[in-house]
Amino acid sequence: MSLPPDFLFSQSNLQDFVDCPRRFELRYILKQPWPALQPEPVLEWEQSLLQGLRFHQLILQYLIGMPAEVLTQTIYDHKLQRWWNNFLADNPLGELPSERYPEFTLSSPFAGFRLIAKYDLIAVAPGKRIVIVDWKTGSPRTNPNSLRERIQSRLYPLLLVKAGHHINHGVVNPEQVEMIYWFAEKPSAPFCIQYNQTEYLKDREYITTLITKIASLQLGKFELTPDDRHCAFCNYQTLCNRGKQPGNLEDLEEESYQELEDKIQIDIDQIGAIQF
Amino acid sequence: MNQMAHLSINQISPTENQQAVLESFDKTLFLEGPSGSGKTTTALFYLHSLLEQGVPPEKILILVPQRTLATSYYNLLREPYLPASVAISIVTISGLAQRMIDLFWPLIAQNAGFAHPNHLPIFLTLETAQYYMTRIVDPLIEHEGYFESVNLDRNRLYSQILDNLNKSAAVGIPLIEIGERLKKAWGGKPSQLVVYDQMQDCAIRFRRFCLQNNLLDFSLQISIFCNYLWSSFLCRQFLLNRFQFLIYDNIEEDVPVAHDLIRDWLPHFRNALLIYDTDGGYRSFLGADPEEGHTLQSVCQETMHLDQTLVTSPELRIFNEVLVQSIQHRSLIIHPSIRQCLTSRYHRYIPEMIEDVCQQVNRLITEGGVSPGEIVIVAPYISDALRFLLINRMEQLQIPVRSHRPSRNLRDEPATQCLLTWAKLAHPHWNMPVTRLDVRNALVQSIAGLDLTRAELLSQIVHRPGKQTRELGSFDLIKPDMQQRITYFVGERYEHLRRWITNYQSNNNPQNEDNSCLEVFLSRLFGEVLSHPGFGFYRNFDAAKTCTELIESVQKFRRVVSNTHDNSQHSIAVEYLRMIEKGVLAAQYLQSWQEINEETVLIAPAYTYLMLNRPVQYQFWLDIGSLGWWERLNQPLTHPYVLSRRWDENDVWDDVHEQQTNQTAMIRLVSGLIHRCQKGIFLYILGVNEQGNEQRGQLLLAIQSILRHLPPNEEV
Ligand code: SF4
Repeated sequence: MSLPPDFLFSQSNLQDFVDCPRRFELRYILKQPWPALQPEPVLEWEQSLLQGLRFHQLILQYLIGMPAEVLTQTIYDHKLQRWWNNFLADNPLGELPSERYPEFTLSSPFAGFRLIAKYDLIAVAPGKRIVIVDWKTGSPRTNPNSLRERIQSRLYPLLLVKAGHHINHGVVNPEQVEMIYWFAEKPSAPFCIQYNQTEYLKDREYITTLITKIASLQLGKFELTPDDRHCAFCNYQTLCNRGKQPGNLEDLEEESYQELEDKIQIDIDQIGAIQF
Repeated sequence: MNQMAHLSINQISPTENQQAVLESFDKTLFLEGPSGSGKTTTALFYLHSLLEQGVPPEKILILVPQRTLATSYYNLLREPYLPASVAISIVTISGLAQRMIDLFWPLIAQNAGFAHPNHLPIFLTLETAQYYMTRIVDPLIEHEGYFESVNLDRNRLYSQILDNLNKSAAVGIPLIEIGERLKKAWGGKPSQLVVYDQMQDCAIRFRRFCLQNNLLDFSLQISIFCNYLWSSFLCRQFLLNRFQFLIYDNIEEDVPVAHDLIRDWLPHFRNALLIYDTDGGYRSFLGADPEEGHTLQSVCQETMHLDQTLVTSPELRIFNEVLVQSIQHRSLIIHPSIRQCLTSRYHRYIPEMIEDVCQQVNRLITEGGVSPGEIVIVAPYISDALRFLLINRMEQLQIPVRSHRPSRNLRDEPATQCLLTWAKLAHPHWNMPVTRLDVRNALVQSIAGLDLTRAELLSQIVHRPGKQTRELGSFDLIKPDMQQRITYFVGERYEHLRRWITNYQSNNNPQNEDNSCLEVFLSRLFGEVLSHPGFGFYRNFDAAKTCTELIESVQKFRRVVSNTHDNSQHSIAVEYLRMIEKGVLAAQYLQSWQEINEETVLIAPAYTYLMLNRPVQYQFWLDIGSLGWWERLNQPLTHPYVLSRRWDENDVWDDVHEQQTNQTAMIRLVSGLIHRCQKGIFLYILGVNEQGNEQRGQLLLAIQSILRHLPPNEEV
């Protein structure tokens, strides 16, 4: 086994494994730094990542009690302003249970390791309803099925069932769990997943199989992905000899955008040493 | 000390004393004891038991003075056997301050005096704070004769002014009083007084500049948090509601304003465990105040002592006592048993010492069955040359080794210099000079298998620094006999690189800001050329790491500086390169605190090792004659003791103070090391040090007094 026993499995490292086992090996086991070729135009790309981060921050500030008008005054960017206006107008919080846990991290022992996930927001009516909300600043996806298949959509509800008893004041029943992807660009079309026992058992088995497989692989046995679309925006592109030109921002497919947007999550984790 | 370094908490049982701590719920408890007495392990049991009792984990706050000191907690929280839970917050005071400022900025920015309260705060790193300090200080040095009498490297001058700002915030001394305080304590030549005035002026100008531009260096983050946020209703309520259980470890290593905060906050916690190491205080030069920390005992409901060290052998404990007596020039009561834990070695020159150290380490591992992770090599200061020689020799002996340093000199790495040379040549309009030596070295780095002689030949022909055009000459135009000497293999690679640069230049559209963005150039050069077969960075993982870190350093600089500078990428890149050359940037690139592989021999400065809080079986103390074990750094612009709450403002610093503080600091240092050692210490005495001097510092004298009474194991 090439994994240390205290390895933490998260949606981003599991998704990396699903997309490309070699990327998982390079990034999380070998921890190999490799200069990335960023999607071009680079500065525009960076700007959009920072806008995404800032949007998450604004909602967090709003949720902890900062007045919306005070926050609005701090926005000088058209795109961000649009997202923020959409958020205020659509009021996605309105329908949610009243106990709110923004930027909340759960973790649980699982398949001999630990699973960890950081949620943008969990809203709870204890013992009745528990809603996971994920703010998406990328382009809204056209194919909900592909979003449903992503690790995030499977791991987040699964982990909430396993570790959410503190905030639910008791065992979490899968039927109580919903997950909502809310799109800043298209607030009227959120993507909702109603969880249930069948899905829970399926996801539990799927994630267990995935972890067991990763844990059984020896170093050097992590294959390069056969689907080189995953390489277009991967920082190891030149190491793997999978092309040497960065992808173009315009060509960024939804799937890849999602992949990169997940990295925002990592950046959020790196801001400060405290998780809220 | 931490029994948990190698064992999981479910593999050991608490001692009787530790059990008593676990039973003291719903109170605030002050736990003190020497290093190695099991305090952090007690805290881990305590945390574990909180979780087992169903305490909501999000209500638990773990506070430490430095992130390395939280390693045991992070390790525990990763254990697969722990129950499902919410993540626990582990913070330092500065991490907490930064996060709170980020969240509550709009509420306090105006009152705190920032000129643009509706714009976001910009947090400065050590590098970017130094950069802005240069912009304040350089014109004053160049046009107004500031610091004329100070014989100090410019970068140390900037960092000492920043250090004063930090001490002012961390100790709670008003910024405008720093200079006056230093002046009052000064008992030397009057010419120094003006230096303190100039330092004060620079510090105030820097602070004004930060307020004007929404910049927050460490000092401003701490001040804003303590003076504005903690008293703001919303932020305070947020923190009070959020946390009900506290573990505050190594309080002796924290700064006084952190102690003030906890003193105020403590009554609001349901449970609190405060942990005090009676031997600590290693971060005093950073403003830590163990005595102030100890005053927190009076606000805790109960105190418990753990007196017995669980790490150190009885012989080492005796050695510690005798060494302290010897340092204090007291009469020695020496027990011959301490010879069992000491090996003393004398070598005249460094290479001999290195060889011997490596052989001894190898012997411990191969013959003694000691795990490499159980060995540490320390010195008060470890130069890059010494580090390189040690690592090199160990690697030859196939000993797994790692070097831990809080920062590394990124700019001096050959890979960095190579990348920056090509960047300057590819952007002639930046007007950054490139010497032939630069080109030669860049060629050696860039082309696989190219030796210095052929690189010299090639660089002489293709690079003419005096010429109008800064274009690199083509290999195809070189005379055939010379081409042959350089070899066609090298020529082909060189041409590939040269053409890539030419193409890059011809595609350079000035409208596209990406084209002047230094990190874009660096990542493309790496990815499109240098990391490919036939080039120097092909499968070169160290070069990849250097390049990644250099790109990060450029990015961080750009993101901050674009807020206060002419915003074009061109001028930011030039500014970055200038600052690299001045040694302001990439000279102290902070290393990830998590990059610690525990199964390797560790080489680290002594204080850095102590802050890892990790005992080992064997320690190697290098060059015990070095004055570095005794003397503090020469800091003409600041003073760690005068800028502390311990200092009596009416006092004058003199030789007696110097002697006393050096003695106390050295006792703390060696005791800290011994308390983190289980079996034995190798003491190395060096005839001639790296500077070519023979040093006989206080530690050597103290140890020699002891060794004289012991049967020899080596010539000393
Ligand atoms: S470049 Fe492609 S093959 Fe290589 S790690 Fe990335 S995704 Fe995998």
